[in-house]
Amino acid sequence: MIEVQKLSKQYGDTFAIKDVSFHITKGEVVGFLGPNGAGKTTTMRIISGSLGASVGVAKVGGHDVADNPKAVQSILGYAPEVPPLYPNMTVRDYVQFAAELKGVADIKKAVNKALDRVALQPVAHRLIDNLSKGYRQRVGLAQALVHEPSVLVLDEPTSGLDPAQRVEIRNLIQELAAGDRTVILSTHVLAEMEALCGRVIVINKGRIITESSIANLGHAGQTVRVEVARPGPELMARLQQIPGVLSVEATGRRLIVRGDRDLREDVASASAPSGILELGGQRLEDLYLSLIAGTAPGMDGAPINAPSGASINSPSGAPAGTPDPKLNLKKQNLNGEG
Amino acid sequence: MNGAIAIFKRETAAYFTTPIGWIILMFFLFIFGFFFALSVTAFMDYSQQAAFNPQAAEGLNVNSFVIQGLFGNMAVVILLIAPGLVMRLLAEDRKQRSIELLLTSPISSTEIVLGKFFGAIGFVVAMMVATLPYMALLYGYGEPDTGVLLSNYLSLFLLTSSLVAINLFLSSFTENQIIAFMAGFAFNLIFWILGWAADMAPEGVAQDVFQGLAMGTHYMEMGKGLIRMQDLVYFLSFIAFCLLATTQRVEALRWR
Repeated sequence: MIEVQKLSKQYGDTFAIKDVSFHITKGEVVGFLGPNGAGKTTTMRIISGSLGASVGVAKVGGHDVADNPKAVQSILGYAPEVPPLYPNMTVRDYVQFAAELKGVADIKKAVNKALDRVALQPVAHRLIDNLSKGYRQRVGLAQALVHEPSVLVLDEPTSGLDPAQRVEIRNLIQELAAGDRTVILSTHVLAEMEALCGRVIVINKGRIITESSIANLGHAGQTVRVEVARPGPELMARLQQIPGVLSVEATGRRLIVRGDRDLREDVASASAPSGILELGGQRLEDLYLSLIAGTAPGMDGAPINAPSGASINSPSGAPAGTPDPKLNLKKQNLNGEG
Repeated sequence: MNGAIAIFKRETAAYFTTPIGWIILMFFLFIFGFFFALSVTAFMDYSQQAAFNPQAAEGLNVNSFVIQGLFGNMAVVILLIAPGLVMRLLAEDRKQRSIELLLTSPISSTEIVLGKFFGAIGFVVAMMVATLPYMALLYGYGEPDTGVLLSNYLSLFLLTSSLVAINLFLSSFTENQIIAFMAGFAFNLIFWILGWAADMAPEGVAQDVFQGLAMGTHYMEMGKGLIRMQDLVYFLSFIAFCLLATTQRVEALRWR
């Protein structure tokens, strides 16, 4: 449904994104993960046709965005991080205006449907200027939805919202993603990514670091966090003797065990005599930070802008650069070639 | 062209749902009324003098004295009003990011520009219609030449449309409405006073070029009641050129 090939956007000597390539099939919900300035919004804007690429091709529904933007935009709905609103319009007038722009045939019906879907009917008569941030985000979603697009591009849809509003928008996106609608979503909230997305594309400094399902992203079981009642040298020794363990870090009662395979069962057995209080995997936040820093398990720790040839090691012990099909980690030529 | 029509409707309506539209309309009608009253009062004074001095009556008619005088003064006021009308059209869209809605909708840059331009023109038409009661007064108490009156309205409309077009182009370069206004007023003034440059330029091609480019020259000619092809071509081609340049600018915003 969406195909991006070697997409680059250059401002002077600086690349906002470089050689970004990925493929999203129909009905997939894919998350874009990365820090501020990573290139998420640039990529999304190019896909939605509001920004031109310097090099590369972006196709949506088989149409090239650069050659045929109208065809792309008629099947794509884009909700930018800052909703593109006219504060002096009422919610209904604004959504109707968006419907007219998008060439909707039955405008009244489409507007009502969009307002119902994002639960905006109660405030449909109010000026957008007087709405809360949560409602404004919904209005932004309503304009993206009003023409029933088969592809939704949502840039930080929960940015700046309070926890309750986040849950509301998250539920709404879950509803929107139902069926065969393709959704690309960017967010900083990892739990949101976990709840909504089947696959995640991690991007940093304009380049894709990895693509994976959330479950595989963590290299399940390779990092185990354990909290015990009676820490001591015996426990440390037992843990270090487990085959495949690379390191054991202890901070008081808490220990982090890292290895090159799924260690959960062995760590539990070894920790049991010391009284397990809590046992868990790597926190998503830690994983995200290690990915961005290039030190995630299975990565060689090379910086993202490392010289040509730097690659992601296979966690299964395969030679460096050989992709592990289970983890779907792509070999990365980090200076953007290939 | 559905997109252009949607934008046109939104923009025209926006003038009436924000204070700026009403303030401009109030200012325009106040100034129009002021100059109208001034012209009519002066005309009546001269008429009374002419009753005792037949020589003074020569050339004294409502067309040249009231209509031409009024529309001549209003042209200068329009130099100030046009950038006020247009400053928000693209600058505000860029500032509040609503331009993203336009750029990600299946409409062309030409449709965006035409919708914005005619949105402002819709308000200009409303402004001019609002002055008709003054003209009704003129018909009630005098015998103005309808042809002269219409050609003055046409010239004011074309002048305003030209200024709206160039100010729209300038508005596309900034997110700051104040800058858009100031740049618009400066350009309007330059195009208006090019005629003065013609007076100072040596006779020949330079003078002809300045005269040909000066808006004032074409405006004043039409104000006499003469609708000349060269004046119509000047205004229409000026508008077309500015709209084309603005379309290129919006296209550049899309692909920059």
